[in-house]
Amino acid sequence: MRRTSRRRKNRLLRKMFRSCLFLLKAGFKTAKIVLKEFIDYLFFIEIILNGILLATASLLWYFLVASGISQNVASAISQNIVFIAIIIVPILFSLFIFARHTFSKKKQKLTRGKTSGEIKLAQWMTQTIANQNSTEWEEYQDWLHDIMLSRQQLLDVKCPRWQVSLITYKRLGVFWVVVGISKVKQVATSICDRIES
Amino acid sequence: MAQGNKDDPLNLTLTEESILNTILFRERYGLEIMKAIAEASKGRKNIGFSSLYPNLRKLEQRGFVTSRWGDETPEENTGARRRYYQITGSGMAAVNQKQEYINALQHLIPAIGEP
Repeated sequence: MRRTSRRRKNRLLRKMFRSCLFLLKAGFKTAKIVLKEFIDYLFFIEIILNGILLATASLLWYFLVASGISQNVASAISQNIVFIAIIIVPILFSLFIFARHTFSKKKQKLTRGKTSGEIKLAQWMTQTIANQNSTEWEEYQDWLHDIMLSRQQLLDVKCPRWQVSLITYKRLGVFWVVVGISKVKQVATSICDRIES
Repeated sequence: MAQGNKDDPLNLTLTEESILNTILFRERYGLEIMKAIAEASKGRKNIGFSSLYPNLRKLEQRGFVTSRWGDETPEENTGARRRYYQITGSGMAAVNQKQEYINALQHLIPAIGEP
């Protein structure tokens, strides 16, 4: 009984130690990211915001005292604003930076080495049209080239990924329909010619 | 009567006319033509892919436009090549005829107040 309880205790202590170590590492990692990003423009926005809040606190104190409110109450209100400026705003900014950093890392992981659906569709269309030795590939490949070029240009100007995919899918769909109609017309014409002859 | 004759330059649609004017002084590829039209009209006239390329085919069939394959490397995912379009002599004549017609129309309308 004593042995099992001692083992349980040791296991629990080890778990607690590992959790503390994990929290410490996460804390250091967050601090590193925050410090890195803090040098960015968000640092200046935060300084400006804190400055505005502190100035507001001071002005509010004078305004409250002048309008007849007791100095203690005015001080309490101003102190609360200062508390928000010094404690809460940096925490919010840090969370925002951390969330942004995590999200961009996740996004990198997902898109690394993954061919997007619209590219696969374009490749499939190319194989289908070109393999049939049809005139449509010679006639319309520049259209497909420009669709893919336009897609790349939209990505270069940081257009939202989902929007680029949607636009490209729509364009590829229209391309496929037009090429299909052209092919059907060609086949229909050749059948008519054969019938006439 | 030239009514309904597709080869008559006066039967050029606005899109066809815009395309011919875009390539009047230099050759361009499809996407470049689209962007040029959008820029020149300050975004008021936009030609989509589905309108541009069939019109380019029609203009080629009518002999107003000619094309050549570009020397750039083909597109990496599909291997598709770029094609440059250039206006022909007939195309230039068609654009000039249309312009003359519009000028004549403007001068034939009597000014306000004149009998």
